[in-house]
Amino acid sequence: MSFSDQKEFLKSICPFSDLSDTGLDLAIENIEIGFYAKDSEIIIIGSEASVLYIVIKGEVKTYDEDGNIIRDYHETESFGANALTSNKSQTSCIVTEDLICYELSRKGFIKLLNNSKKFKQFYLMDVVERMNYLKKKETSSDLSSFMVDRVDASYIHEPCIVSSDTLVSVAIKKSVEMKSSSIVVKKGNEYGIVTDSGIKIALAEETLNLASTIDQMAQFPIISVDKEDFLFNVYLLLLQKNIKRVAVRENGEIIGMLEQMDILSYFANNSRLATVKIEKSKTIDELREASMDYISVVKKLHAQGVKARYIAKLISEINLKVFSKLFEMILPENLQKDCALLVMGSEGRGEQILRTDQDNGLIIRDGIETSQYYPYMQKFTEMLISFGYPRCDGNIMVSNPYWCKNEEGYKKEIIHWIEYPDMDSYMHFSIFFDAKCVAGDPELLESIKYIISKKIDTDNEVYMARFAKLTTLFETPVGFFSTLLNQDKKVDIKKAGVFPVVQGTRSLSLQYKIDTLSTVERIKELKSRKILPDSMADELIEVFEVLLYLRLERQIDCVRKGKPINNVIDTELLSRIQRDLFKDSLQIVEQFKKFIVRHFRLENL
Amino acid sequence: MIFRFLRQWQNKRALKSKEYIKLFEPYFGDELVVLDTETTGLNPKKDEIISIGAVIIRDDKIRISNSFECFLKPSGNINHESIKIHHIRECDLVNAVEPEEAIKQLLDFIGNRPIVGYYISFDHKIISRYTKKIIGSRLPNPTVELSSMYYKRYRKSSSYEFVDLKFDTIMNGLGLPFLGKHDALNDAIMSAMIYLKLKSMPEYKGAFS
Repeated sequence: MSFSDQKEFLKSICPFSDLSDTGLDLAIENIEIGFYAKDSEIIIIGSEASVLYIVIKGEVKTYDEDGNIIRDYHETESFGANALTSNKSQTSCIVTEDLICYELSRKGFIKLLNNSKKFKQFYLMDVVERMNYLKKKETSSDLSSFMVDRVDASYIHEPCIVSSDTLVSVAIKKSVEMKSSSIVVKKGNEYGIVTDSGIKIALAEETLNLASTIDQMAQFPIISVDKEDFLFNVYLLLLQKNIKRVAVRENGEIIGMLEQMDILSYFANNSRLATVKIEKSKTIDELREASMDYISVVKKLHAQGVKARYIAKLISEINLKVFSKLFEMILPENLQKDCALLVMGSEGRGEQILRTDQDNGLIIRDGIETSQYYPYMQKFTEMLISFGYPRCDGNIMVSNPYWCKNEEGYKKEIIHWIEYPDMDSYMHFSIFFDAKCVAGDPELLESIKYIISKKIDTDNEVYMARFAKLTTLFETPVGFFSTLLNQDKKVDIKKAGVFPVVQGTRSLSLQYKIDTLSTVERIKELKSRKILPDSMADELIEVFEVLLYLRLERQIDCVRKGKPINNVIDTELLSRIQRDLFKDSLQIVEQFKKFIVRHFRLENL
Repeated sequence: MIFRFLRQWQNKRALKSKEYIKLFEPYFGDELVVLDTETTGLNPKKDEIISIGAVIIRDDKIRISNSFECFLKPSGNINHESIKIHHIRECDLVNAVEPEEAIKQLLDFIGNRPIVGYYISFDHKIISRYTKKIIGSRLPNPTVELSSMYYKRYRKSSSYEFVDLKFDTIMNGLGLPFLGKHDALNDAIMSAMIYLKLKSMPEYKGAFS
């Protein structure tokens, strides 16, 4: 008997595509084709399911016990696995468009679970793993990302290791022989480093004493990474510490040196160049030019499959450098020490990838005349706009005197926000809550954040609850493929997905006084404090990643087409895998919203 | 009615072997066999069957694991035209069996169930030509014609409208998916889908029915 066509069809369906030929035969042997007219109820809630359904054509929707749509299923998607594995269906399932489907019997399903590990994983693993699985499918085709390349994939230089009592002259000679640009100094169990530039500086300052021992001039401890670390993270480390090399360890022992240049070869010479140019720029024009490189950096990193959240991290490093450099260029030095430049909102959380708006502010030390800052701040905003950071619609910019105040002014404002809440004040409060100091005196911001935490402490749960309620401000369209909410199948990913996650975690962070800013870090902190259940936290991080990734894809598309950047995703243009990811993500966002509603007891609000 | 009864009675009497008497028993089950043949031409009196595909419908489900597919050894060379239609070349027929063996297997498969198909009378006639030789009788099973089922459910815009009853047109009209190429088994499975879909629709009794 030949079932080649049926087999072909099955093979095009995930996860049947991972089955071996015998697995496929096994599937075919246990499959039937069913037809269900519109409005038939295929699975009744609480009933026992006997088959796995795979849609050949048509549409079904699943509903929870309250009749809310959970999600919908289309061509090549399978449903009913949960009911099969858990004996009782948690959902009901109704045909919304005449359905033709394969029905894989329970017996066949179980045989296949045992036949293929991948098949088993697909149906039995939880959502996080499933997303990773789908994402892997997505990226494996076209990307060899350096995200997955680890340190030992790169060229590692043999280290020039000397003991701490080695004479400087001997050590330098050894490093010259080994053509090494640094000397690793071993002192007991500790390691330090002497770099070529360190020697140069010592020469210039005439402190180089060839007859002394090398540990006199070494810096301890040496900054190192494990050979299993991701190159990309090492690169971030280089940027953060402003250094040119790190030591590579294996089981704690130093096995080599990794140079910035080596990592650069992975980066198509791009991102690092942008930040170098930023640092070296002497005029505003040079700085502008350097900062404009970033779009190509983003595209490149994205094409290489770097996680959106890491791109965001890198881009915000670049942005911070631009801000602080521009700030130094514009503001006279004597004014710099008495103020703090803040970036707020997504920029503060380090989650803005493409420049969608600028939210910034300035805190001026009490007792210093604020008006003398105004003209400089005016110029600062204008320059940023000319750099391609769009004007903020809400006018949350340093050029606005409302966001250029002294400490006292901010403190009053915050109390006002909390005591007289309205839509604007919630927004201002949210944005300010994510503020980060990028230049000037960070203490100024710290003292104001302290006021917030004190105010929220003594004051009221009601404010916190109302603040948290914003999480549910926008509807998350679950089962969005044919609901009235989104007839043209377009979803604003920011409102539906990103904002609820950001606002929810922000609310919890406010309540539990978590002072990290990035959403992912906040979730991790909430997880470690057992406020969020482990599984939800892990899922949420993945979901946030997926949402940022889809949004970035959308935004890059806008840039490519020369359109203004927006967040509206046309689900029909997504690939099937992306659509799956998106659907699963929105479902988890919805669960998280429900968690927030329960946690802050928002039903009665 | 009497005419049909008489013919059945004649058929039964003509049976060579009592082995196939069970084909004449009335069927009380709820299963159907959907059937399709590929032939060398459209003349049931002289063209040959190349392959037969059949599948069982039970509880409104197409039991593809309970299906039948068989290639028949041709007597001479296959007509070039039908090669173009069916994409069956002689080399595809290495697994083919003698016609007598094939027809016996088919009769075992369908038993006394009703048979369903698209222009089933053609398949019925051509298979009967074989069964007459082999068991001495025409195929006695009752038949269900898909094109007339479709016609009865088709909403015409006027009494003069021509209803296109081509297989692919029906598939498209009912919004059914094509499952790969046209071969006997695939066509039988697709016909089974047509049957299930039509069964779920009411007959149209409008002004132009």
